[in-house]
Amino acid sequence: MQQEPVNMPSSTPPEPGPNDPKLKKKPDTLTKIILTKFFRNKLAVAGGIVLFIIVTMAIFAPLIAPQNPGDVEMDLLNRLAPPSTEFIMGTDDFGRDIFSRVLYGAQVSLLVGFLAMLGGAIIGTVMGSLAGYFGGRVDALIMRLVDILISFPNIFLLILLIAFFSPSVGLLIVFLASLGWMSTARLVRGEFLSLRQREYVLAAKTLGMKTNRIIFQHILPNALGPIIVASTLSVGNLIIVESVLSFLGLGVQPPTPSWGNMLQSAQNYTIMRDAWWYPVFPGLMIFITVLSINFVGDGLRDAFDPKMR
Amino acid sequence: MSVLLDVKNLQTHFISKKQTVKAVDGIDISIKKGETVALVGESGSGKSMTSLSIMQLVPSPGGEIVGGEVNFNGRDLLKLKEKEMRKVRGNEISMIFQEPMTSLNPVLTIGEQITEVLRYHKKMSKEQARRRAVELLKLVGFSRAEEMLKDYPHRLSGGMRQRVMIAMAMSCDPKLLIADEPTTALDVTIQAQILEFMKNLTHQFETAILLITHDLGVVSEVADHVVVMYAGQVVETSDVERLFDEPKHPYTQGLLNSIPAIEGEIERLQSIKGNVPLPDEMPAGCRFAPRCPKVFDKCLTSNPELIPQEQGRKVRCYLYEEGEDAV
Repeated sequence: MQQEPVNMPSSTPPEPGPNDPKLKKKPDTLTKIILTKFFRNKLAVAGGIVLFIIVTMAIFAPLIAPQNPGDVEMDLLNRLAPPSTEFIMGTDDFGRDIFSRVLYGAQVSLLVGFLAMLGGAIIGTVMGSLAGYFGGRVDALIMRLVDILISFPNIFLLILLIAFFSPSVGLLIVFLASLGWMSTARLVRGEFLSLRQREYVLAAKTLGMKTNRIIFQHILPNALGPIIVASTLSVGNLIIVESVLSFLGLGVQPPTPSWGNMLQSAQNYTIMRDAWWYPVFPGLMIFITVLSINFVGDGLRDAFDPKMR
Repeated sequence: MSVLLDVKNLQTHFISKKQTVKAVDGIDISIKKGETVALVGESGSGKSMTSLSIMQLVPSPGGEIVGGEVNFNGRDLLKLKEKEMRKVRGNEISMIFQEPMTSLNPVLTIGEQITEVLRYHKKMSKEQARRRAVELLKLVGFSRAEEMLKDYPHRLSGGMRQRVMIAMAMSCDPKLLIADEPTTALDVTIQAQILEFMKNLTHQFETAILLITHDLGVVSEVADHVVVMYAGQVVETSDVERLFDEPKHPYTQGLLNSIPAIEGEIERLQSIKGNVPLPDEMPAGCRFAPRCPKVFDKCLTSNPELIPQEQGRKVRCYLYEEGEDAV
């Protein structure tokens, strides 16, 4: 049997022995390096904290909110009441507590944004992986589909689709996901085009690994960084699209509150003039949430970028 | 000893609309059980393509094996379906590469990469595979194999990674190991160490090696038999001693003259003038003719066959035709 190599040249560090003090410390994994870089970015951390608070409040809305929008009860005595200790964000034209509706609206908006992102990311990743890995005809087919879908104005297509079906939260998620995967697909394809040339891919092939294992276990983890970044940034965009659709009356249908449809019911001239709190708070929530998500996304992008120190 | 791998008239072409590049143009290689055969030649002579053709991993689209046989252990690999071929790869034939720095996946731990092979080919349980992985890492000289399983490749040096690659390649006791320039990217002391490991392992497990290299020093150290390639064809085959004692093909002579000798007078190293011909300007006659110092008329018009010599040697050169004396 072989003994330990004795003379290692100075350019290569000797294999650390079992008593090497360096080994006591866990090695820095890539994840750890990325997290360290992320936490150094103040804006990103601030965005993360705000986002965390919003998400927590949305999840625990039933515990925090004074009213449950599910039991619709009009309170015409408190119609358009300004913010006060009883209604911290005031009330709407039905006398409902806006704070409660903003919280429940956060549930819907975040859920739509997150699930649509997840759906889009999965479709885009699979499509992009296949196109990038196999190349040739598969690539041409998928990428032309991407080109076609991407050259339609998204909003127009969504309105068209929703007009055919009746609007619902579930359907909205499905539509947003099926129209939101193309940029991810392009991104993943690009990554795969370069990653599939790596020697470890050839090595995996020479070891007899199956194609789907090579694609999803060997190559995909190497492309995860850009996918995570792009997906995070897309959540902000999706929340805005959901708001726009709801504002147009094509997204989440009242009485279920969403930030978008709250803005819609607030667009009345008299309300805008006399009850500033009605449009301002849902609008502010959209703004703060999307901004936080973008800060987090930017932070992740810098953290994943090996050139950024 | 019985023949393990018998490649006959293997042809791999790269076909595009503009031209067909004959990267491998009728190669014959035969390897016996436990034997080490070196495939030697300059960059661009088709060595690596030959090995990828044996594995049937020629880059596609573009590359295609258009003819020949790859008889391995009694069956023609070219006739196998992709699914059956996958069971051969890594299990019966495995491969190690030139660049140890890039041939391990940076996002998977050493343990994950070794056990994956064992679990797939040998259907081992997680625990069995882990134990075998430790055994293998010890075999290639890692004393702290147990802890290494959790390490990521970036913590290892080039030589260490190449040893891990060897451990992976040897994990399923393959009958043939294809080593594509396994030591080229390593520095000299590590080179010797890696060659030593390969030599010992093949001895222990009777694994045959197809060693692809342009380093004749490495060849003389480990090979039993040598196949010299030039421009997609075999130009000379011989056992290692006779090749070094008496190289026959002018190309082989040129290769041997271009390595510095330790003994003897110090003189300028000789080089072979020119380059391997580009595929679209392949000479009409012998492919080496434009660079050959001993070229004569016949060489310019037709390409010689491999001409059998004494002791099973073969040379593709008109200098050794029947009736003509060797120079």
